[in-house]
Amino acid sequence: MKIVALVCLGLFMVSSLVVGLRVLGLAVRTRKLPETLLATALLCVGFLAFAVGTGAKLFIEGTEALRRTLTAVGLSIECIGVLALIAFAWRVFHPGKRWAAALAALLGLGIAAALWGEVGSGQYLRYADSTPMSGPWIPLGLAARGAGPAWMAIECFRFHAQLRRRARLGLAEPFVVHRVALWGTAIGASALAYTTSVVHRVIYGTGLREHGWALAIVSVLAIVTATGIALAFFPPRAYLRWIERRSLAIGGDDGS
Amino acid sequence: MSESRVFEWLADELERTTPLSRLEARGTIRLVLKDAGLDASTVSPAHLGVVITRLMPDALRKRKVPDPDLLCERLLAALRAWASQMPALPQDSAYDVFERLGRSPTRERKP
Repeated sequence: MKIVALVCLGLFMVSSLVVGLRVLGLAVRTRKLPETLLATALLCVGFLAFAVGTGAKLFIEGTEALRRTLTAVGLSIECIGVLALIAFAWRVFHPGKRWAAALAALLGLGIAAALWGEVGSGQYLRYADSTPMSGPWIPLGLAARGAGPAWMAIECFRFHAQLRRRARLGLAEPFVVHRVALWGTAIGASALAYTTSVVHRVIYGTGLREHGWALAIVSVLAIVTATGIALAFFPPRAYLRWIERRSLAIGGDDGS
Repeated sequence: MSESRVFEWLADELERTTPLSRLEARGTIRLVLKDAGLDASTVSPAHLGVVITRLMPDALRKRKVPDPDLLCERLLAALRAWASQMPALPQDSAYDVFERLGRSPTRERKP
């Protein structure tokens, strides 16, 4: 199971890296904030945080100081990525709305407070070893970081429902409607992975790798996320043709 | 929540040219926009034009407004005239962002 999980995690990291670099290229060309935020989120949460965190777990066993540093750096990178995701949800879906700015600030403060608690209590090291956690900081930290993708997924599904109605009037391209649905599914799967981690930590105190069922769940979610990201931002021609045919067959409604 | 200028314009026009009260006119537009998946605070003149053509006649007919088809034709012509005098505001809607995210980072978009 651990090998399957590593393969799934690898696919998730590769898709995040490739799509993140593509969106970063777009951000360089357009100089727009949403592209910059999304590229930061994809590269930080999907690739860099896992790469540094996995390095802390696998490659430097026995080197305590380096393990501490890498774990803290990996966690901080993850926090930066989730903060970028929260800023994206705010700026793209609700620019200029006070409640959205307040929610984004609240989620950001929650992430900062949880990181402070995890590092200050020394519990952050439990991400890199098999020792059961103690205290509330790890589940709180995971929940705080999981709230970002959860908000993004809710916004995507709400927006997708709007776009389906627009598509019936020819006011939205089917490709864009599908892209929103795929990104919502991908980021929703990411939020579910955080939820699985929180539940597992609360029940067992240890990381997911201690139980095959937990690894199986997050492996499936990692594949869903990787596939969703890849299809949303790097769609193969055959997939685009399929969307076009489907859209024409049902007369403007994308039907997704 | 503040509505877009074009929403306010259409609400004023409906109130002025139909027996609908201000509240009824605004409510009618809101319901039609919701059916179209659009938002009163961000709707653009171009999108509102499609809504006036495709959805507004039936909505006005249900509210017993006389001759809704002719009224909508007039509203559409008036909207075009109004929009041509308004400076286009730079917008970056959620749709624009997701549309852009599908583009290649190295190629310019075809006009």
